[in-house]
Amino acid sequence: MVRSVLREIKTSLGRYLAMVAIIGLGMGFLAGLMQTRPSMIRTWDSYAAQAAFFDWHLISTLGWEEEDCAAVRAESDTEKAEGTRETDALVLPGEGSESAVRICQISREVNVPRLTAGRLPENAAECLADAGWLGEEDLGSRIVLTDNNDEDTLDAFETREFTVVGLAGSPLYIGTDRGNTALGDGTLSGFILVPEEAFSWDYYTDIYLTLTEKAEVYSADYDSLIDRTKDPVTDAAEAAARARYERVVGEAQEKLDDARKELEDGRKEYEDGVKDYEDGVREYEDGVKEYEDGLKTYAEEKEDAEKELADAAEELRKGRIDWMEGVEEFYRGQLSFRTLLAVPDPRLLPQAAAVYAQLAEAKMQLKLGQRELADGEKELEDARAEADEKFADAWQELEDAAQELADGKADLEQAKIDLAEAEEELADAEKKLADAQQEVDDIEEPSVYVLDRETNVGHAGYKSDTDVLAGIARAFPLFFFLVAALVCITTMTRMVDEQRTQIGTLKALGYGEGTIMGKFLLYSGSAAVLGCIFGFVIGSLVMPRVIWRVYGSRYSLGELQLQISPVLGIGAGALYLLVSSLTTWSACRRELREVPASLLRPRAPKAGKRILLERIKPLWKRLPFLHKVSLRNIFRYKQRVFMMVIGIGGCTALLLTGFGIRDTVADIGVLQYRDVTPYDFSITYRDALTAEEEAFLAGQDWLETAEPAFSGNYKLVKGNTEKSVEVIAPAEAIPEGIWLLHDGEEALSWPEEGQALICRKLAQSLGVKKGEKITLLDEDRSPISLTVSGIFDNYIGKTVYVSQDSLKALPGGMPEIKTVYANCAAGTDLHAAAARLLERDAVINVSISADKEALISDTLSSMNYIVMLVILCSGVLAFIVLYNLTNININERLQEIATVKVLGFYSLESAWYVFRENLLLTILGAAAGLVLGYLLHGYVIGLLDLEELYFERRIIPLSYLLSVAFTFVFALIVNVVMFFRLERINMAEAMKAAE
Amino acid sequence: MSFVEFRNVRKVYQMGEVQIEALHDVSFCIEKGEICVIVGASGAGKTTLLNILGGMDSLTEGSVILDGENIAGCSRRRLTAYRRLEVGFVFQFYNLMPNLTAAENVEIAAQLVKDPLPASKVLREVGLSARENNFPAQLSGGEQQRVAIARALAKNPKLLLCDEPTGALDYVTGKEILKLLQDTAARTGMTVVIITHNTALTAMADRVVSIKSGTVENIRLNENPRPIEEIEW
Repeated sequence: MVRSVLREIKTSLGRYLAMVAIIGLGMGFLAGLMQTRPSMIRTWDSYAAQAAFFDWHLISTLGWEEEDCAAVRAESDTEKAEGTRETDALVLPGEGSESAVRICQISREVNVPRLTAGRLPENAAECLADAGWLGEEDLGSRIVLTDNNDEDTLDAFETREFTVVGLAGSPLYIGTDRGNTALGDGTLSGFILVPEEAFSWDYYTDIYLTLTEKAEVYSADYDSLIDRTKDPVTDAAEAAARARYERVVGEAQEKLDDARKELEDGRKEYEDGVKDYEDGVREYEDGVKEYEDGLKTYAEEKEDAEKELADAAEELRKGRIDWMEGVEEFYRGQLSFRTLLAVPDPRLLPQAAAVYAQLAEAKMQLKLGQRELADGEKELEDARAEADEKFADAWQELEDAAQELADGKADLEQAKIDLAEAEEELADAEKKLADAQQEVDDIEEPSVYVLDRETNVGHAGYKSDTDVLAGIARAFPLFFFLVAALVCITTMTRMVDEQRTQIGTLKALGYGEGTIMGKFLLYSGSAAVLGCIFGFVIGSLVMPRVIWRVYGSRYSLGELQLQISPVLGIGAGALYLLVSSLTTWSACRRELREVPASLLRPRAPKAGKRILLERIKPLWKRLPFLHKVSLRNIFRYKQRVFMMVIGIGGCTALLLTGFGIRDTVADIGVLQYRDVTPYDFSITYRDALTAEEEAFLAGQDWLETAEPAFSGNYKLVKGNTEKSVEVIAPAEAIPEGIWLLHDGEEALSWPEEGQALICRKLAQSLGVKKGEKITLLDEDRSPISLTVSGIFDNYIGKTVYVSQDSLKALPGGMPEIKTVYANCAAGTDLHAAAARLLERDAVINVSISADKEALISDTLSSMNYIVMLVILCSGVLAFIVLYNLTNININERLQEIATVKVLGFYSLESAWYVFRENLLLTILGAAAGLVLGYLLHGYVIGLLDLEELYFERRIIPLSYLLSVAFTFVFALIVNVVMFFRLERINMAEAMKAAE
Repeated sequence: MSFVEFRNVRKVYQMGEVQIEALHDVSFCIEKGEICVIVGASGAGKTTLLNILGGMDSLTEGSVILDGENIAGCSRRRLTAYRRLEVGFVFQFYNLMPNLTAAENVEIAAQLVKDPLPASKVLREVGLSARENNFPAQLSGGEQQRVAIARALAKNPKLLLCDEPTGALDYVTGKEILKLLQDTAARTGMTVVIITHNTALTAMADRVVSIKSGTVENIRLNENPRPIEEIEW
């Protein structure tokens, strides 16, 4: 029995292999496509787990500190929380031009970078560079912060130059998009990772945290985990931010108070100084008086002393005169004595003796007098000297005092200046202090942003890419499954037909029906099992990798980690086995019901029949004879026609779906930014738009239109469903060229109070129709009830347009307008214009539509690969189906074809005899395929339900044309191959008895 | 010069490594307007002979001259043209297109040549006027073979090749068919070659070529071919 099956397989190897191939193809596609997304998700998931990709990202306008980190870490849901710093800067890499990059601190716990080359930095002057930006040849080169950075940015770092010592990937940047910045041309070229110590900031800019509980990325479990932890994490973050605020304000106030105290001290010192000065002045004045007194005293005393001295001198002179008179008298006495002596008169002697004695007395008296005079003279001299000295000293003293006074005066003058300065300084300090106080008082309570993974561009992009794949993976394998089933049916039916006689013989020999059927079941079953095994193995191993080559190149996630699900393989395999067995069973059953005798006779050829078309005489008559034959043949084998039409139709349908997906998806950016929101850019202001800013905008001649409008995020509620939406409320006058809202061809009028225009995506997902009521909730969940006045075509985002009057009904009144939508004059460099606007302090963001369009187009360009994949699949499918069916067609009609050849049909004529049918069926199939493809395309687009994008079913005429053309090319290839088979048909077949 | 002339025809089939000599040294000729019966047992080489004669197969050696043209060296296309324009075939199993009515089956051959006989006329000649719009499945074996003969005749061929024309028919019907062939030959002066294993048919022939083991065993001319009605087997 097994041997008989083996022999059967050997003799009909081609057919067996075709069956194995189609089942393998179906299985391969099923396994491949359905396992690609799980594999891709697993790849990202394991990377995310390994790199500790964040679950929550906390940003505070005040920054964070280690305490805040610790507070968040203390939350029960938190596993790890790490503070990190990042800032955007303009840098000049070793080679190349100035680029804007994001400089981040190397994180150790959350979002751990993956080193792809080189080593980790060892000091503050070394860095890791984005592996998607620089290459290995840049290792060792320097990255310099350029002078075009503002002071704050330069101050943020300890150094201005980093040496690239390694390349790294970051889980924060798995895609190619590095995000936007206010610097340079507005796009980031890459990132640089620097050690913590390279930053001079003492605070963190961001906290990233991971949760204790884990769930696979993008899974429903993860979503619910995020939903569940959002509130506690937000609360913790806000509490931490508040604490940080209080700390910051407290510290500042403390410092301020210290400063104030210091100022008070300073003031006291000053006042002391002033007092000292005043004392000094007084002292000085006393000194001056004293000095003047001294001078007077000096003069008086000097006068007195001189008088005294003069008196003394006078006395002395008088004494000397007296003395001289004494001397004269002496001499006269002497003379008289001599005279006396000369007269020897002894009477005279006594006299003389008396005189002598008198003389001696006088002489002595004179000598005494002389001595007295000399003494007096000396005394006077001494006194004079003494007085001189004394007065010189006194003068000197006075002189010194004068000097001192002069010095004192200078000092006082200096002190006066100093005091004036000190006063000024004090005033300054006071003003500064007041300013500082103002500043401290002005420190705003920080705004806290709690962001989840969806806000990460790479993560979100990867999700939409895998979602697209998932949509395709859901639609296409089903198709292949159907086709494989059809091929099984035709092949097995044909095989059972061919073996009719053998079945009869076996039956006549007494074999049971079960045994006979078993053989066919074994044949088809083994083909199914083989096909499934090959298909599953090859599909699982190859297909995800092929798709990964396309997607993987756009994401830096490394090697694909295959996620092979045996359950899927076994399940799908069982299904295939079931289908092939069922078709075999149904094919056999009919034959087995007949008695052996009739089985042994060749089956009567299927009776010819007139077809409906023949009733239309005028048309039928005009048809060339052979066309009539073909037409009748087509309708003769309905099953085969059905198969062909399904097979070829399937091919066309797949092609059309592929092209259609591209049409629908690829132009979405163009459709949105050209047809719906054709403004050049939107400007976002930090605070409400001021008249000053408006005047600035009005003054820019390159700005053609600038339309301030309210834009904010609200919730749209309908029934139990709630959607986040962007609400836009322009002013009364509706500008040209900013919004073009249409419902199909119909231009929509702007909503009035109490009305709203909602986009099609919202209308669809909420099931809202025109004229129905919807409710908008602001962030405090205050409701505004609105009537839908129209549904507009929109492709990106979920937008609701309302009138400002409607918003005024909110408890808070009309919210602040912070957005301006603008159009530039033709020829304006939009990036330059954006840069000019960003220079203004009030502007926080300028979002250029063309950039967004380019980004979207880039993201969706992977669609082209999908389309190529689909074309390839369709080609293979078309080939197998057409080959199989044409082959069966030829086999079944071998005798007929041989006869035709014997009758003298030329090669091409006999080929046409067969192919005319194929051509007709291809036309029919293609036509059916266009219808089927239109439906399949709608189905696939329906599956591509991305939250932010609305795909309008759209297939351009060229796609219809291409689908049909490709189908015909595939059919042509099969027919060319078949032509050579026809050529080889031996005419002797015509002589044989019908089988 | 004879209408058909086989000269030392040899046919070797290459079956893998083995060469099988199906015909060797076959020489005979058939004159225009003759009914020639080629008779031989199964495996004698009849079919190979027929294939060569019908321009469906090539020969290894020798020459086959048909109406003055040696088809031994002809291209496939020329052979096709020969089959198309000059030969009418009647098969053992009729080989009618099941999907075409009797008239259409005639027409499919007729449309191949320039001046075909009208289908209805030919069908009338084979006695099937009433059934011309019936499909083969609605006809008896004899009627189907008549349609087949009509199909061959409609081309107005120079040579009518019949391969076991009665092989699938009962005795009476077979006889009717043979009669039709004989009458047609007599009426139109067409050369008819009948290939059969049934030696009884030799009686109706002008010329009998007996084949055995791949070569001509005997060629016999019948001075007085007997009408079919008189032949029994």
